[in-house]
Amino acid sequence: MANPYTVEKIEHGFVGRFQAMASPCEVLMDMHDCLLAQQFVHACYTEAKRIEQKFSRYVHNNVMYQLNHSHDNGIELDAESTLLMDFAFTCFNMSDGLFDVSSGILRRAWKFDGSDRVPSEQQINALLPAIGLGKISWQKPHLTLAKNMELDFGGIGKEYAVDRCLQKIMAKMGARRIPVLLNFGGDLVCNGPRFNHTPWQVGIESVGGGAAARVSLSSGALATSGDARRFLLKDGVRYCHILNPKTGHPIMAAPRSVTVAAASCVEAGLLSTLAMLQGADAKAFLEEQQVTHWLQG
Amino acid sequence: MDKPNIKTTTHDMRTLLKSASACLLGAATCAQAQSTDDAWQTDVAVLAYTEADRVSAFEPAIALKKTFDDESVLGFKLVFDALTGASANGAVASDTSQTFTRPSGNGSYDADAGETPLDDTFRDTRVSLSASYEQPLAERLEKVIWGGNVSREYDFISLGGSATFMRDINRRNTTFSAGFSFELDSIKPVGGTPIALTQMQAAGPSTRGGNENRSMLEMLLGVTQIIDRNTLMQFNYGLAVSDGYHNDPYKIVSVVDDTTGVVVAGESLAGKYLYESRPNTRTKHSVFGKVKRYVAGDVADISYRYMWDDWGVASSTVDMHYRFNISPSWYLEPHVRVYIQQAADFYNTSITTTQAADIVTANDHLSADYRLGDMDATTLGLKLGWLTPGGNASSVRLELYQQTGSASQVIGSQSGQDLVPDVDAVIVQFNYRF
Repeated sequence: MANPYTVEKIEHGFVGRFQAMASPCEVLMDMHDCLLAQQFVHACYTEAKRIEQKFSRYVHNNVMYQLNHSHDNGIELDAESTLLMDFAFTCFNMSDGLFDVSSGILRRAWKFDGSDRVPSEQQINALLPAIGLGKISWQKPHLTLAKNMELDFGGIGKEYAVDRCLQKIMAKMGARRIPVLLNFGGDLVCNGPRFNHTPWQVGIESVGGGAAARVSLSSGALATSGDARRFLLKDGVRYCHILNPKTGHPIMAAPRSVTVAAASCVEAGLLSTLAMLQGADAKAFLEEQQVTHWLQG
Repeated sequence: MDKPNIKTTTHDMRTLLKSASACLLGAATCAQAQSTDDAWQTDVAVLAYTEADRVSAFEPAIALKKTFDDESVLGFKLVFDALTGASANGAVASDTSQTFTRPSGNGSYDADAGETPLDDTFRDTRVSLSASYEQPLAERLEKVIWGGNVSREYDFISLGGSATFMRDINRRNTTFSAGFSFELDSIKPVGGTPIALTQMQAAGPSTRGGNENRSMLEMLLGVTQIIDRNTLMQFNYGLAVSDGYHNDPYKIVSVVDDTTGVVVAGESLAGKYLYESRPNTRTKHSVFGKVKRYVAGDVADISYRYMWDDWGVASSTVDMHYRFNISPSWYLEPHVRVYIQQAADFYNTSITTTQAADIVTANDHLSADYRLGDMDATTLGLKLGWLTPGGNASSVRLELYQQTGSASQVIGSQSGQDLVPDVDAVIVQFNYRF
């Protein structure tokens, strides 16, 4: 395998690049120490890959694989998985079941490939009994998953990795304060403004004809949810890839994309996903939450 | 299609999500994020200072600092200082035992033959509170730092204020600073202010003055220059002018026989001791230079200061630190400081009867305070610093201080006495930031 990551000199410092979680990942560092830059990127890459390997449902024999093949046998989760599971339950309860890490199996019916293949009502109804975090026995750290159910942390995994990677870099920094921005395919976090005290300038991708926005970030994180390329189009109706786990149907009239700013990427990601789940009420929801946000579509 | 609704209330949800995210990312992180964003940064320190057989000081301090979104910084510092022990009163050791009156005028204390006279009633507590506000100006290349402080001791109140203007030029490689400060002191000596050049009287009522004041104005000009990526240089010039009462009201000067060097008889005490008399004004200049350099992961700095004033005092200080960064979270920093001072024109370890008569007649200046005498002092220190697992900076510092002085004159039998004893002190300090 070629170099897993690259570190390049740019105008005000260095940029590290690699591919993880099906996204291009960037580490921007405002400093002039190339060895330290190398160390930061290495720490970041290692952490991103660790999380990807551990939680990806495309990897066999990892934690997710064991969990999804436990077939009614209770298993004991490790500390990190326990934290994620707790978080998933909190989000599930808080959103009245709308944010559900067990809803991934709806993919068996819905394939968002830009085609017009909308599944039949029977196909969807057959899956619904196997969805619902409320049906799972979770006695931390012991989890029992019914045979036909499946969990997927994809909805929070990338944001979680961004936050964790920043922590790894901060740990390497020690007492020093070096401005760093991580951008994993549109999910970003920074540890403060740049060295010249100016905010980081971040572009938000233009989706479906909307205008590309330029956003200033001087602390915290940004996360975006959207249906940029993942949708179905049938009889003039656009089916967005965000599904309501309770009905098994796409959320209608949702914005094309929602970008939210928050203290951490996990928090920003959850808020943007919850906003999408509100459909046409996304804007009202975000305004009610009093979070900084950008809507497209 | 149905319209889903989120039942949890807005406020609950935000709070819940915030705390859930913080928990997911580890409690340490949520604390860390707080401290860099909106929390107050707190520094606590405890310093213990002990002079062999003399003064001990115990000084706890707490400092709070908060950086706001507009880059302005507000800080407060509270220092408590408790001093106990014995302090040299200025008189010299003698072949006979000596008796002195306590500053209050009530009671007396003795010094045995050959012993340096020490006032053993020395006890003071000082509380000092200071505040500072750093305000960024034009394009963040300029800033002003405002400061204010108030300090109180049993016999002393001090009030001060300062303003420092800083400007970065040359792509932030050069920083100019100009600062002004003032201080107003009010001195209320125990038992009243002794009248300069009069004799110390036996315990009981004596003529004393009231409160005294002093004001000081100071100007500091500085330039900091980044030489290369690893080197930084700094130059300062300071001018301080003060006006008012400069005496140490508790310090006296021994009057000895012109030939024998033995303390002569006083009016009501066995020995004759005059209260010191310093000028009412003082103009002090100082120049300072410092080089700081990163050396293969470590940090070294060396500085030199030359100070001179119109009292004839001149001093040189060389100060060196070298910080060994053992690991990302541990460092060891040795420290060496050498101080050499030339005495004030009116400094006299003791004076003869003839000199005393001349000084009193001319109403001249006089002090035997060893802090105004010829002296050399060396400090050797070692600091160990580390980051706690939670990422908080801590350090512990141990310093050994040794001071030697020399007498301005040695008369007759004084050659058998240690007129200016050495001062040895140990300083231990612990710091913690969270």
